Amino acid sequence: MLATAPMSNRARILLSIAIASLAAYLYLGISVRELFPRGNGIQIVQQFAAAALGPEANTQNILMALLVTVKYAVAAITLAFALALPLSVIASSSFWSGCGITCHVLRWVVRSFIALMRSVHELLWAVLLLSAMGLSPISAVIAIAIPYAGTLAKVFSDIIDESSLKAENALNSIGASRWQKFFFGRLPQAIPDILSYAFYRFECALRSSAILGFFGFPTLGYYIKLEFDNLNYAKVWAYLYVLLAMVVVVEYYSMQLRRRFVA
Amino acid sequence: MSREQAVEQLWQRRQRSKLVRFTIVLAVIATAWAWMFSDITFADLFTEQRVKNWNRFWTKDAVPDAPNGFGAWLGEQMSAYGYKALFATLAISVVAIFIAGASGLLLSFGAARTIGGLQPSRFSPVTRMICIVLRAIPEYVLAFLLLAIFGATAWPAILALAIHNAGILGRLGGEVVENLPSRPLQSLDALGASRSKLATNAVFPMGIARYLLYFFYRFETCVREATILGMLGVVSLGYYVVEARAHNDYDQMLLLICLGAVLVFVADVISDVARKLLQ
Repeated sequence: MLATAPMSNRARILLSIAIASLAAYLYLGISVRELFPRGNGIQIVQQFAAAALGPEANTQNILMALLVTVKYAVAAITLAFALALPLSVIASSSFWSGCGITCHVLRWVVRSFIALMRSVHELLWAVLLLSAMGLSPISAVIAIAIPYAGTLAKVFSDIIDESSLKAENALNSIGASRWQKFFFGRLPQAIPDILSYAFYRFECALRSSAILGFFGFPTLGYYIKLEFDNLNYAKVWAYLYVLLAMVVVVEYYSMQLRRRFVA
Repeated sequence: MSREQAVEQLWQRRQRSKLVRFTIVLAVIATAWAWMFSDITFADLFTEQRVKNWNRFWTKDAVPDAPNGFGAWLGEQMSAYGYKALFATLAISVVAIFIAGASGLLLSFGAARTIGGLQPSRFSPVTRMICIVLRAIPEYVLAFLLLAIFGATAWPAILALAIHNAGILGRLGGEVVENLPSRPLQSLDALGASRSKLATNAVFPMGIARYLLYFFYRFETCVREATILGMLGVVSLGYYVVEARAHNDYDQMLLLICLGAVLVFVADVISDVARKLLQ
């Protein structure tokens, strides 16, 4: 199917990528020579690499950091999910089928709103909320939840629109109303995919939550920055290993779950 | 059989999985814990101090100081740092995705568990492992570590984005290779083509369109991440955001955040157009 895509387009795109990359490289004024660290850089690499084999753990701190990271991620993804579900219904085209121009305007407004939510990175939301309100756990949660709600809403609405028409047609033939067709014919089919995608975004939320630590929230990132700045490389590695393990374990779990969930 | 019995039978035959049930219970407990038994509370939004901060921010701090009108102010800001921030961010993400795309291409040949039903590369498990490790560390943390090594050039940001995305593209590319039609590959193999011949003359031309779809999907996220990597001190949009915040120039900070949104939106459009052309 894709093997028959027109060669000319493909070649043109590959060429454009090459030209754009070269132009970007020249614009940045960087050189490949800078990739070989000198002086201080080499020392840091050596010390940091040497510390990899002997991570030094303060179990209590690590456990606390891990718990806070998970807590923010759970709160953020549940809030995002609650916001995204109604938004996605309004943003889907199947919800409005057979409705006039006003509905399309409304749908377009909601879609743009969703696009705005996810165009701003969670860390930028965090900076904005920190400046406007000050440091508080709820600002970290909201900072993650806003762009995640945007992404979830967009993908959910696509899932809803792409689900099969069979059940809806069957309901149609026994005289179901437009709302009944949507809520009992279309939406239930989309639920497994919706939940599976939400779980995948939970993985991402864990990473975002860890990174928010760089802004003073007590998640894993906070300790990574703190210990690195104090040159405690052995401790940095302990937190890095925990972060890595968390990501890999949740990814594996999510893979197993999806295998059982989405037929 | 009565209707009730039929319904009962359907109910009995529903799909059940212990893992799914366990996850649902876990999710409910975790949600309750995060919202009800922790320091996360919406009430915190409405304390006197926060409301005061909030009002001051939107009525005073973040309002542009523009005696000559908003247009003139915007023009000044854009030429002072706005265009620089936009171009630097875009350039960083383009170089990064180029490196990631090229490395991911190499990784994907190795990562495939099967190539048209033929014996996969001996290094397949190792390559898959490498892909997992490459993508497991978030870009921001990688960039933070690399910054200490390379100093405040664009390289830490570029490498961090490239490493993370190479891992992702390697895995996705591996799946592309696994799903290629097996006939052409097997007939080439029967004719005695070597592994490298197969890669360059069959796998690459058949798989590249699909791979490019993933490439552009990652480009979008790359631009999004590049906007914030500057916060570490590399000159991209995030750098100016942090600077503006440090100087309490909240109007500039707000403008930069909006510019970031515009940039991500433009990247979305570029990537959409490219993907349409490929299909």
